[in-house]
Amino acid sequence: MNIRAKSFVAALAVAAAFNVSAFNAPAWAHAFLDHAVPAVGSSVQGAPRELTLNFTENIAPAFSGVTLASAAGGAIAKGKARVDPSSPATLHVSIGRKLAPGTYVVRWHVVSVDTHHTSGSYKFTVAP
Amino acid sequence: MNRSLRGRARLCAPRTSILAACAVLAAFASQARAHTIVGNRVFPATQTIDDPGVNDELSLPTFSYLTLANPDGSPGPLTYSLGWEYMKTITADLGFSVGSGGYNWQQRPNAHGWSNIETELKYVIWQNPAAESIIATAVNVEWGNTGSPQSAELPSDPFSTITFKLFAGKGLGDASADWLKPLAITGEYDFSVPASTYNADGSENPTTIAYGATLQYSLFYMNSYVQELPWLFRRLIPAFEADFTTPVSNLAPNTPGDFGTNVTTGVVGPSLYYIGQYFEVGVMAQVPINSASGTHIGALAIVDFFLDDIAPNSIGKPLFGPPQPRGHY
Ligand SMILES: [Cu+2]
Repeated sequence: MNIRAKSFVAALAVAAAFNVSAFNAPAWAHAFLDHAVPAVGSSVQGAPRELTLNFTENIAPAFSGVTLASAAGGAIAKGKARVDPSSPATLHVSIGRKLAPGTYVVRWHVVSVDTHHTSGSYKFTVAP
Repeated sequence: MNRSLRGRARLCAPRTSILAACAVLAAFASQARAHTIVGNRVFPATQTIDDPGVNDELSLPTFSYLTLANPDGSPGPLTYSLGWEYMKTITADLGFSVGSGGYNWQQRPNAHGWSNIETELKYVIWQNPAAESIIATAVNVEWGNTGSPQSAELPSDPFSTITFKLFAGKGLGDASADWLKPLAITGEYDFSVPASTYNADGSENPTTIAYGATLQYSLFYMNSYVQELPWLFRRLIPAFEADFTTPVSNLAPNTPGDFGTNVTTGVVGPSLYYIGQYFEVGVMAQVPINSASGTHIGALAIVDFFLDDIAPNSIGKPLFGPPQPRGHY
């Protein structure tokens, strides 16, 4: 084969491998936070009773968690983060008490099923 | 890949008698294309320079369009190319890639040909997930005469070229001001040495340095960590890119009416990336920095498949060792 044919065949082989794998392997990616309630960086009226974190990928509950703190750093009591059975990319966390007006920091860490770790934090504000 | 395009186009453009042969020279040492994840930071596979990490992925195609200039200021050939690259991780920090500038065609005059094949070994020297920082190095070989033969309209380079590369990336997620957190910068520095200095006709193949950088403002990052955005914007990374090539030795004497043989060429311009679940697409407007680099705004585009996410249990993981420990704290 000349080089042109060779490159073409190589490209085809790669494309074929890619296609086969795409259909046969479970597909998981890095889980990044897509949206949340209350929303990342938002200001809300009224104290939320629950945090909802929606990720870009399904996550493994055993390795995932959420903490909630006031802007000053004081931890806020809350329930255990649980994965929504009907939507495995969503975490729900119930908040133990009514939040006073102020800014709060949510810290999360999750693992997608392919073992990719991601973590992060964001703020939201409860308006007076 | 675009470095060679510009650098060699400059050398060629004056020699109108062999214009057709030039676009091949114009055609690319393609660069490794990869997206990189360090801590919370996704560095997309960028277009003017490579991103600073290794991964399992397939760039197919990479597209380039540029209008070259003649030394008298008149528009030169219109050049197009469609390239590809496949990168495989050997360990989580060591990657091997094979690729090519691929198929090149030009108008004014019409001609076409295939670029040489390139291979690259890339190694992540250091990274810090919490600081979203990474440094990597690579050795790239463009294999002479593996593209179109010397008898073709656009022959490939008859000699091999070895390039030593250094990469760095830094995300500003640890900045104190919220508006700074989505920012990231990446940079690349290359030193390219042709395996043979002299050509059959007595002309010289210059040693070149190439250096480029990208400034990225990640709406993807902003949405996750700073401020939720409307869904249309959540996966976008606007950026500004710049890339330059300077011949440093084995320079032919300057001839009157030509571009100087030691002139720095390059492009700058805005780009935009969309980060999907399993792939990325990017486009860039490339603005030539001088007439030796081109006459009009050109375009770059890339489609990049994330094989680590598409097939994490087979071709998407390193041959040895755990997958991507770099993502872990
Ligand atoms: Cu992943």
